[in-house]
This record gives sequence, structure tokens and C-alpha cells, in this order.
Amino acid sequence: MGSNGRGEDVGRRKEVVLSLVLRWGVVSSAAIIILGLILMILTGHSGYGAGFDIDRLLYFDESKIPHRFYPTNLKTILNGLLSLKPFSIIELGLIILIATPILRVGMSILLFGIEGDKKYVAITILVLIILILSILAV
Amino acid sequence: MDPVIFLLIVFLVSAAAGFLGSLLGLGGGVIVVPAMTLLLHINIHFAIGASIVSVIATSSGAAAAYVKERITNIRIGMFLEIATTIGAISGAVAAALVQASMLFVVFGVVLILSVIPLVRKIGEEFPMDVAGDRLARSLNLEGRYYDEAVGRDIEYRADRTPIGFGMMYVAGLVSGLLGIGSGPFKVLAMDLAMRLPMKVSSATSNFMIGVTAAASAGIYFLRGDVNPFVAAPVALGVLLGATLGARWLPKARSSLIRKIFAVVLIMVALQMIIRGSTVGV
Repeated sequence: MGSNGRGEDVGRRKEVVLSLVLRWGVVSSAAIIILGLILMILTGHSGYGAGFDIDRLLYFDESKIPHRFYPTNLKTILNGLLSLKPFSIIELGLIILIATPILRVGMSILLFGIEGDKKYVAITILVLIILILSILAV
Repeated sequence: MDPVIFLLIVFLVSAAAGFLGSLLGLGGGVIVVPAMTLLLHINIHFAIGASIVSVIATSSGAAAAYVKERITNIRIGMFLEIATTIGAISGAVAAALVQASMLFVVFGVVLILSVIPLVRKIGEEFPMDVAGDRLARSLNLEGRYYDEAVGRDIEYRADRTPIGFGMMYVAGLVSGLLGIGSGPFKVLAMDLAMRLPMKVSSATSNFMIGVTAAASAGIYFLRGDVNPFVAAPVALGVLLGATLGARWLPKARSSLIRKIFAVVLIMVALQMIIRGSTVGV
């Protein structure tokens, strides 16, 4: 049954392209996260001093943010990637996951533009601006 | 606990959260947060960071299927996203001025009350005789999708769009004020006010929550609330669950989805009321 009753509508391409973007974002982030997890389990260390010890991996101290057992900024993550630290690989996967919805909004602008739907190009740009403002505001 | 066992438990819990979240247009926080804090005794910061990751993973994992099947209405989602994002900003600003614990109770009660109109249309499969309002017509807030459960195309259009838009603002406001997901409020706005088909409401909410959560995820990330040891199994579990949920939704009856939604809504509401009435929100 599946694809009966749908089909040759105009604008279908937009859905297919968007869905591909999402699928690629999701699959690549999952693959990278799995790679990082496997590496951590096999080598027995996270790359940031916590080893594979659950108490240290889940250690939380509000007052010692820079001393946590994982990187929280891009620069440290990139450095960690160069030496294949498991946690930095996982974080890369998470960053791709987080970036996917934003990418989707960007893609929608493009696709509404190709369709010639000016109203929705404007609406989507407005949404993107508000999103950026909300990130900068906090 | 052995770290591998820990990873497996978090993975399985997250798969359940992803499955439910993808069906109902929620982020899965309703399952992830209590499982983390009550069952696994993880610090609340990590639980909230994990719940943000869960929202994004649910949204993207399910959206790939829903967008392709055209159950998601991208136009409706984008238009309403204006209200949600502005609401979220005003909520974040107002959060400093008001007492969160009181608000948890208030909005918890609002959610419980919203179960009443939901129950009144509990057996409804599709909204009937929706004329659509002027704003909906001028913004093209309509669509059609193939419903596998009944084996035919379902055409629909949005009704009472200004009210839906207003409710979406409130949805954003609540999430900004309380730092919780707004999936339940979004689905209610589309289902009750705008009278969209249940599956369209759920899939469109799913699409929207990912965008909103991604905008705030960066802050949690930099703050160090996203612990990779917790977030990795959450992301993988939720992605699996959401993919399975997104496969099942097209085949499921809309009335069944609404029934599950009503039950989960009560769970969310009770969680909010408990959280608001106990010390240490």
C-alpha cells in the first residue's frame, strides 16, 4: 500500500530533500557516537581523566566547571579529536545532532525560495533571526 | 554499577522515550528526567542536559520519516514557530521575575484541565467540517497526507489560527519560564484550537520542538550539563525508539494516538504539580 494515493504533487521534492538532510544528520551523528562509545569501552578510558569509572564519569561539582571529566567547548573538542579521545568523538556526534534542526531551518529557506514561495521565505527567515537572537540573548 | 550496564539501561529507557515522544510530538523528557534522577540517581543537571538531547534526537529521528510521508506540515510548523520562539524569549526574560514553583503547579493544573476537551473528542478519527479561517487560507495552512490506517488521503486545513498562534506563544512562554519542553502544549494548540488531524499535530509538533531545543542546547552544552557518558546512550536509544515510533504512527489509528496522548498528558501534569509543590525545583 504505502505509496498509493500520493505521488506527483508539486512541492514533493521539498519534502524529499529535507528528509534526506535529516536522515544524513541523524545517521552520521549516530555512527560517530557509536564509534566513540566503542573506543571508550575497548580502551577503557574516556580521554579526559575519568577512565571507565562510573563514579568519576558521573561526577558533578557545580563549583569546578573547568575540571569536569569531559570537554565543553569546541576548541578542546577539536584538540581531542586530533588524538582520537573517545569523549571528544562522542561530543562531535552530539554537536552534529544538535546542528541538524538548525540546518533544517536553513534548508527550508532555500527550498521555499526555489518554490517561489516568498511569504514562507520571509516567515522562515524571521524564525531563524528570532532563534539567533534567543541564543545571543541568554 | 558497571558502566556498560549503566549505558544499556540508559539506552533502553531512552528507546522507550523516543518511541513515545515520536508518536505524541513530545521530546521524551517525561520519561528521561524521572528515570535518570529517581532510578539512576544522576545529578539533575545531567538529566536536564540529557533531556535536551532527547528532544532533539526524537525530533530529527522521527522527522526524517514524517516529513517524507508528508504527515508533518512544514508551513504550519514554521508559521507557529514564530509564536513559540518569541514566547520562549519572553519566558526566559520573565523567569527572573516570577516564582517557578508556583508556575509549575499552575501550568500542571492547566494541562490536567485540558484533558477534558480532549476526552470529549476521544473517539474522533479525523476532524470533520473544518471550514478554515481567513488567516489559514491566506497563509496556505492546509495539506493532505495518506493515512495508512484508513487507506486513503486525508485533506485538512487549519481553523481558528489566531487562537492556535496565541496558544503557541503560551507554549513557548511556559518552556522559557520553566525550562521544560512544550510538546504537550503544542499538540494541544494544534489538536484542540486549530483542529488539525492528530497525526499532523503530533508530527508537526515533533518538527518544531527540535528547532526550539537546538537553539537552547548550546547553552546547556557550554555550561557542562551535557555529559557525553549520559548523552551518548540517550541519543542512540532515542534515535532508535523514534525511528520505530515513526514507522508505527502512519499505521496507527488517530483515535488511539489521542488516547495515549491523554494518558501521557496526565503524567506530565502530575510531574509538574509534584515538582512545583516540593522544595527545590
